[in-house]
Amino acid sequence: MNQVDLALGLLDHQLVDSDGQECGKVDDLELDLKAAGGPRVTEILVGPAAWRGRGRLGRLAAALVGGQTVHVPWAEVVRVRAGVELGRPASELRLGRGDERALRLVERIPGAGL
Amino acid sequence: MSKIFSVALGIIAAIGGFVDIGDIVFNVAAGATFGYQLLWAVVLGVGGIITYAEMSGRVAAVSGRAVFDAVRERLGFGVGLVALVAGQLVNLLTLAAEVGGIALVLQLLAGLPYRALLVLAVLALGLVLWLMPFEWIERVFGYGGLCLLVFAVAAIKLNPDWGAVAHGFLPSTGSGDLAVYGYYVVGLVGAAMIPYEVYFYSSGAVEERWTANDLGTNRANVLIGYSLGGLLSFALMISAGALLLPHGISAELLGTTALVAQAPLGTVGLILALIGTLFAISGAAIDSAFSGAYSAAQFFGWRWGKYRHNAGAPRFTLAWIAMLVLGFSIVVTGVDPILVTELSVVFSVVALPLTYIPILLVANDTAYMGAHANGKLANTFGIFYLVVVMAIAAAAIPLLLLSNMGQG
Amino acid sequence: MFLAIRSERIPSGAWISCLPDRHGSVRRSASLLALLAVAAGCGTPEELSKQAEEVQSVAAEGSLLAHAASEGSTTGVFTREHAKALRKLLRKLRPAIEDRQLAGLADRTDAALERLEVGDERGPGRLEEELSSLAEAVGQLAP
Repeated sequence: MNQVDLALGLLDHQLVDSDGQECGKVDDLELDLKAAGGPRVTEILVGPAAWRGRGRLGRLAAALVGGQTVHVPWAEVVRVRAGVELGRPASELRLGRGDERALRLVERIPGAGL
Repeated sequence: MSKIFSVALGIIAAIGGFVDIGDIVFNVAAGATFGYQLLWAVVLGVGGIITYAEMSGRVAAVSGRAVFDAVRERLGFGVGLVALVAGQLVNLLTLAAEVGGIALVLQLLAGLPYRALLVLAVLALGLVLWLMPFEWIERVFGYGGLCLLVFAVAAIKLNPDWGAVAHGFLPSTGSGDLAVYGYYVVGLVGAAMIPYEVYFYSSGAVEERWTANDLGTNRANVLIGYSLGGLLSFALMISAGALLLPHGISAELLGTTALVAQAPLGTVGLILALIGTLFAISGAAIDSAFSGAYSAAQFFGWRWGKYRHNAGAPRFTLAWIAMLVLGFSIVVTGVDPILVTELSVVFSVVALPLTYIPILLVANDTAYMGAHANGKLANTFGIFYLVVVMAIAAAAIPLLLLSNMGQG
Repeated sequence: MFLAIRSERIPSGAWISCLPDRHGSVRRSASLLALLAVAAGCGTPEELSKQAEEVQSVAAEGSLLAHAASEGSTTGVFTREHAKALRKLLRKLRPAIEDRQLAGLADRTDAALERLEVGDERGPGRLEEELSSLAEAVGQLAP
C-alpha cells in the first residue's frame, strides 16, 4: 500500500473492538519509513494529543482538550472493513476510557440501565 | 404488508415532526407580511431538505456511516472539526429556541410564570429522553404534531383568494420592502432545511441498520414525508395571510399563531393549535438535542445510539444531557425565544454550506458509494441546491441587518 | 518528518481541508459581529409610521382577542396570557413614541388590554369595539 492509499484508507476511520463497540478514531498513524519493502504502519495513535499531527486546527484542538495518546500496535488490527476492527476488547487496549469514565457518572442516575 | 404499514407510520410521524418553531415563526410572519407571495420559498426549502436528506440517507444505507463519520473520513480532521463546531453551535441555538417555545406555549395553556415553565420543560424533556423507549418518543411527538393540521382546516375556513394563493407558488420579488422580502426567503428556506433534521435522519438510518435494500424506503420517506410536512407550512402561511394581513396584524408572538386557528374554528381550533405546536416543538427539541450528541459521538468515535439505553453509550448520553442544560441556560437569561428562533435560523443558513457540501461530496464518492453514488438527477438537484445554499448563506447576515430583522 | 511526508504526498486531501476551512472562519467572525450589531441596535423603531404600524397591529390583535373572549370561543387563560404578552410588546415600544397623539392612543390601547387581561365584567364585546376603533384611529395617523 502506498502512503496515499494508507492515509485515505485508514486515517479518521472508526475503531471497533472485538465486542463490536466503538472505541475512538484513527487520530494519527505512526509509520516506519525505513522498513524493507516500503513504509509500513507500526502503530495507530488514538486520543486528543494525537491531533497534534493533523495540521493547525489539530494542534489547537489538542491544546484545548489535552489528554493522552494511546498507541495501538498495528498487530492488534484484525480487519479493515467499514471500521478498523481490533482483536481485543477496548479496555485491554486502554481505549474507550472516556466512555468508562462517563459510565461512572451515568450509572449514578437511577434508571440508567433501562 | 407490515413493511408498508411501518413505512406509512414513519411517514406520518415525519409529517408531524417536520414543523418546528423556526417554521412556525417564519411561515406565520411571512403570511402576515406578504400574504401568499412567499409560498414558492417554502417549495424551494422543501425541495432542498428532500434532496439533502435523501443523500444523507443513501450514504448511511450504503456505507453504514452517518453524516459526521462520513465527513471526517472523507474530508479529514480539519474540515470535519470546523463543520462540527459550526453545526453544534446551530444545534444549540435551535434547541434553546425550541425550549423557549415550549415554555411560551405552556404559558398560553396554563398561565404559569415563564421561567418556572422553562425548568419544567427541560426536566420533562430530560425525563422523556431518559425513560421513554425511543420508538414511543418518535410516535408520540410525531402524531401529536399532526394536530397542526388544524391550520389546514383554518386556511380553508378563512376562505382565501385561491387565485392569489396559486400565484404565490410562482417565484417573484413580491411587493413591498425588498430587503424584508429577501430576509423572509432566507428564513423560510433555512427553516425548512435546518441541519439537525439531516443529522438526525442519517443517524436513525444507521441505527435501523439500513442497507442498499432500503433505498426505496429512504426515497419514499423523504419524498412523501417532507412534502406532506411542507403542506403544514403552506397551511400556516395561507391561514396567516388570510387572517392577519387584512387586519394589519404583524406576528411577533406565538399566541398570534394560535389566534389564526382560533378565529375561524373557535376554542377547538385554539386548543388543537396549541397542543400541536407543543408536540411539534418538543419533538424538535428532542431531535436537536440528540443531533448534538450524534454529531459529537460520530466525530470523536464514541459509542452512540438512542437504542443503546443510556449506560450503553455513556458519553453520548452525557452529550445530550449537556445539550439540554446548555440550551436551558441560554433561554433562562430571559432572552426572547422568538428572537433566538430567528437568530438560530439565520445562523443555520450561514453554516448550511459547511453541512451540505461534505454530504454532496461524499454522496458522489464512488469508492464509498459504489453503484449508488449520485446519478444525474441527484447531482442536478444537488448542484442546484448547492448554489441556492451558498447564495442564501452569503445573503443571510446582510439581509438580517438591512431589513432590521424583518421589521423593515 | 512524519507531517512533512504526509502533506507532500497527499495534496488532494490538503487542498480539500484548506478551502472550506477559510470560509468557515471568515463566516464565523462575520456572524459574531452581526450578532453583536443586532443585539445592540435591534427592535424598537424610531420612525412614526413604523411605530404607528406596531401600535395598530397590537390594537387590531387585541380586538380579535376581545372578540374571541366575548364569543366564549377561547379559554380564560389564553385571553389573559395573550393580552399580557400584547401589553408587554406595547410597553417595549412606548418609551420611543414621541408623537403625542400616537402616545395617547397607545396608552388607551394598553388600558383596554389591561381590562381584557383582568377579565373586565363590563364585557369583552365593548373592548372589541374600543380596540377596533383605536386601531382605525392609529391607521389614520400615519400616511
